[in-house]
Amino acid sequence: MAEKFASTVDRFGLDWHYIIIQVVSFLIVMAVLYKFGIKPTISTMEERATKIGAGLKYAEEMQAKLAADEAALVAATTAPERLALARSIATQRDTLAQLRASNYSRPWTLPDQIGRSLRCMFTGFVLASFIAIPLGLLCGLSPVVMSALTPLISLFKPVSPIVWLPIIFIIVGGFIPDPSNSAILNFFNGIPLLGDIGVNPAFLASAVTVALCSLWPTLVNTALGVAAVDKDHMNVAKVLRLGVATRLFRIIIPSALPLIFAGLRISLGVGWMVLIAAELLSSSEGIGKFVWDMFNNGSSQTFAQMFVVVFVVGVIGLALDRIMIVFQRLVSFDGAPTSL
Amino acid sequence: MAYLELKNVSLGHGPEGHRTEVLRDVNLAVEENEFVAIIGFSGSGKSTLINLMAGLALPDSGEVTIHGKRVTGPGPDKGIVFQNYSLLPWLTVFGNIELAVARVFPEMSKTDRREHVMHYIKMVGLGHAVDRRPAALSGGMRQRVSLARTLSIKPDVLLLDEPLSALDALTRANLQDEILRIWEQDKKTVVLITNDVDEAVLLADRIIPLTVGPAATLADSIAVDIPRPRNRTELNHLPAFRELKTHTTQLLLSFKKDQLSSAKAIPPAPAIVPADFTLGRPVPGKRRAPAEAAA
Repeated sequence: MAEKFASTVDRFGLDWHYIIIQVVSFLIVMAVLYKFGIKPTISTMEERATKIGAGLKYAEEMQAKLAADEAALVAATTAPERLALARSIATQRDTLAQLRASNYSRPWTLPDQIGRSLRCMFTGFVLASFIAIPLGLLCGLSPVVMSALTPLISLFKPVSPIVWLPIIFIIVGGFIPDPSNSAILNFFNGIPLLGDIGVNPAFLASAVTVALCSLWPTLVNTALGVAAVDKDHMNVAKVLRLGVATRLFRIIIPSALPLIFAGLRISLGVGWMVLIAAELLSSSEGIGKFVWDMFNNGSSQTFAQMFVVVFVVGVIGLALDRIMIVFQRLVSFDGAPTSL
Repeated sequence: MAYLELKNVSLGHGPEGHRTEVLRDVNLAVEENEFVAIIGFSGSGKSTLINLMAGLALPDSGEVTIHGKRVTGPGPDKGIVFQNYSLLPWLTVFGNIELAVARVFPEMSKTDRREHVMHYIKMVGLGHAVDRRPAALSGGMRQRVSLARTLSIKPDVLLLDEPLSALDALTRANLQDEILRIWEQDKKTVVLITNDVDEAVLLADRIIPLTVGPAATLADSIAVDIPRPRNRTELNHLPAFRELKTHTTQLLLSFKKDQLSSAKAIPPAPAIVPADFTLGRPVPGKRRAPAEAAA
């Protein structure tokens, strides 16, 4: 039992020396963060919460007053009285409607924005993988396709996400002329994890930008992995007369999996970086927008809040990278270390 | 009609006009269930010869026939054991052999297939390492798995492409005995490519030397008439063994000498003295004296 645990720990490459040092350095960073970042942010958020609470109380008072006025209207006898009461009821109803709406248009909290950012990034990442891996397979298998696509890849790879974003906005806007009833938005809202945060065209534009910028590492690494399959393995396939599908799924893809996962790991890192930049410019709610809002806010805690975001982004990027390393280790077959 | 025949087979590579001939007019006739060893120097075209026999390469001229039928491509009837083992590193020992068996005997049921694979794993002595990946095996064990894989598909001809070259001497001796034992139990037509004369004399019925490339060809075969079953320790006492060894080694070395003597003589270098480009007068500016610069 203990051996199994020890071998599992070994498999995942955990070494208690490293873990202790990492925990200690993490605690130091958290202490610094707490003093300079978290406390001011929490006080700001508490202020906001009290403001909202006050707003809700006001709404309740308005509702009570409206009920009283309606009762009075029924009891009123003269016409001018009725007119005055009717007007006040109408304005009170309007105010109430506004207050109700403003309940939902409260600015998002940081954890909600982190969740939204992560979902946006994963949408883009999954999109990128669906395009890059088959295309990479094709490139690796056929030198003709590879030489045909290489100039296109080299052309589009260096384009910055900040340049892609406005273009994608226009394109996505063209496909979704009416956000309130669009087949594409309905499809995305139908996906369980995405539906509960509400997909809008800005979200899609950010996701597509992430996809466009992060698909290149996966594409190149997949092509390389497939093209570099050992000639000996292909000789075995020839001698055994394996069919095309068997060759692809039982020899070529398993042989290329370590490189494919290396590409996916790089893509994930790139995607996360691109997403924050894209959100800064787009109006999709997320960590990037939080930074932009704080910048425009100009309050005394703005700088601290922006730095909190820096560390949050870094911590999430670290966590994502470590998760990908675990996956990479699972598919590598020669036990070579992929990273510290 | 021999079981495996090569008739005037030639193979070269390179574009027209600059063609390097690797093999020229190779003739070989291997009878059924005969063990033939082909010996040659490195780079003389041994692997090319085996690839021709296996169908992984096609000859420029001449033909390769097995049982009268021309060889047009690779297949499981020509089992080849590669020099570099060619094991799939993401599959276990069992998985590697099962892949081959499942492809060649698709009608076998799962239990039959498992028995078949385990039979061959035990035959090469790897019963304790069934679920290990190749990365966890030594060189000798990997070559055993490769051998087991080739034997399990029951080929008509067994082609061994320098199977023991990449191993140390002790493992080599071990595996030579294994191959001998396996062949004695279940005789097949075997062509062994090797560069070790001892190995060839121990294992084979006939030794055929390959001359040195380019344009290598097979010399006359030397019969090994040492009685079977052969025992490594007794072999050293037989005078026939020593004679064969000496004769074969001298023959091979003579090929090398022929090649060296037939190489064109190097023309004498012309007597040129390099021109003197130094100026006669001193050049202005900072310059170290030549003696200092050399230090």
